[in-house]
Formats: sequence, structure tokens, C-alpha cells
Amino acid sequence: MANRRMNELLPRMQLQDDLADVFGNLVDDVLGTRGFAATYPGVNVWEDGDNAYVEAELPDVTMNDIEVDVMGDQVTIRGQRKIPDPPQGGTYRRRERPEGAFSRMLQLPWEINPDQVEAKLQDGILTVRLPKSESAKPRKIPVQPS
Amino acid sequence: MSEAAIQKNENQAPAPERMEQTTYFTPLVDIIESGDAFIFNADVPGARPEDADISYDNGVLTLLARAKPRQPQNVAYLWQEYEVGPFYRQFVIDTPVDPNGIRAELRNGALTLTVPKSESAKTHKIQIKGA
Repeated sequence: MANRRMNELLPRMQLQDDLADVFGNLVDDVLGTRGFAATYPGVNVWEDGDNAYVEAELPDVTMNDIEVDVMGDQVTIRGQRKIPDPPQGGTYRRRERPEGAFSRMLQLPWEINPDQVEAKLQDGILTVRLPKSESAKPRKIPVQPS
Repeated sequence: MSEAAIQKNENQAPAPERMEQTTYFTPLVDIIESGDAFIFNADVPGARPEDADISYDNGVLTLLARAKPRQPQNVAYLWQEYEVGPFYRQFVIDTPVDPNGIRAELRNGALTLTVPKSESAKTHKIQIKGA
């Protein structure tokens, strides 16, 4: 298994391999491992001129569990992921999925227009569109003849 | 919300495209065992029911969920912490299970597989008679 950085979201790993997971471990070694980033959730950020987009992987979370705040040039994504208790008579044999509170703050190179921020959550992917504020957009300055 | 109920098909042995130059990511999985079933909960963010390919063959359960790229290939990232690609993982289950009873459901980027144990492997509660 890959080394995974300890943080509060580290799942309660149960290292008792009740399901003989020999094959599983082999696969882990051969294939790309997607361990935890130092922070959760991992984010990707890109821009298309007038907007920046922040995307985060938040599977099995609802919009009610997520909060997106914008202030100045900063955007904060925070929330809570709950892993339900096993159903009656069931026991967790393996716990890898992270659980608990998370928060990511990102600073963009320019001011955000907070009134037109849009966030959507689909298939466990949070996408936030962050339009540049008017003052941050490039402006053409007419040159007056003297 | 859509659901995918995937049945075992004996003639479709799992054939992940290992030959392609594709990076497969290992999904994080929780496994619950109860008296009559195993439940696998896997994080496969970005994958939809039609992207999933689940099979069970001779004790090996294979999870494949092909999360598709969401941005154009040439997008200029200001910051990138993860890549998007297919999720793939296999588990060996050494308890006899009922392959025809395996159910799969994918919603909100999380895959849930219910793998019922075969009758012989289920926990049977024994009624105790009094004298």
C-alpha cells in the first residue's frame, strides 16, 4: 500500500485483511495509486479568460454538506463527509474512505465577482465558477489625441 | 437518480484494457460484512452508471469505472492536484458468494456493490428448544 499522509481525514484503517486481499495489494503496486493529497479534497483550478474554475472530488456528499464562500480573491470550500454506520448486524472489514470535516482555501491572482459565483455538484464532482470582478478584467484604454 | 444493476455474465471475463497507455487509479473502498452479504462502497468521483463495469469470476470481484475527462485536453491549469482516469480494483473473496445476486448501484460518484453470500456461507441462527 502507498504511504498515506496522516491527517484528521485519514480513514480508520483496518489492517486485518479479512478478505484475503493478496490480489488487491498486487494491483495497488502495479497501477497508479491515488492516495490522499496532503489536503482533502484535492482541487484542480483552471481559467478561461473571464472566469476561473475550481473543481473538487467529493463523492457521496450532498450540496447540503458543502459550503462555498468567496471573499476578495479567496474562495473557501468547506464541509463535512459522513460515512454511515454499518447496517444492523454488519461490521466494517475495511475502511479507506475519508470521513470528517474538510476545508480548502484558495487564493486567486485577482478579485472574484461574488455575485455571479456558481457551484454545482454532479457525480461527486464539485465545480465552482468564479467570474473575475470588473476591476480585474482587462480594459482597453482609449488614447486621446492631444 | 439512475441505477445500474449489473448481473454476472459468465462469458464476459473481465478484460481491462491493460495494453493501453492508461493510468488506472485505485479507488478507496469500504467493505462491510454482514451475516448474509458483503457490501463494497467505492469512491469513483466523476463516473456514471454507464461507465461502470463490474464482474465476478471465480472468487475475484473486479471493479472498473471509467471516469471520463471533464475538461479539454489542452486546458491550462493554474493548479492541479489530481488527474482524471479510470478507477480499477480487484478483490479476492474467499467466501462462497451468489454471483447472480450481485447488485451494483452508482450515484454521486460512489459505487455500492452488494454481494450476497451463498446459502452455505450465510450465518444461520439456530433456534434452541427448551426442555
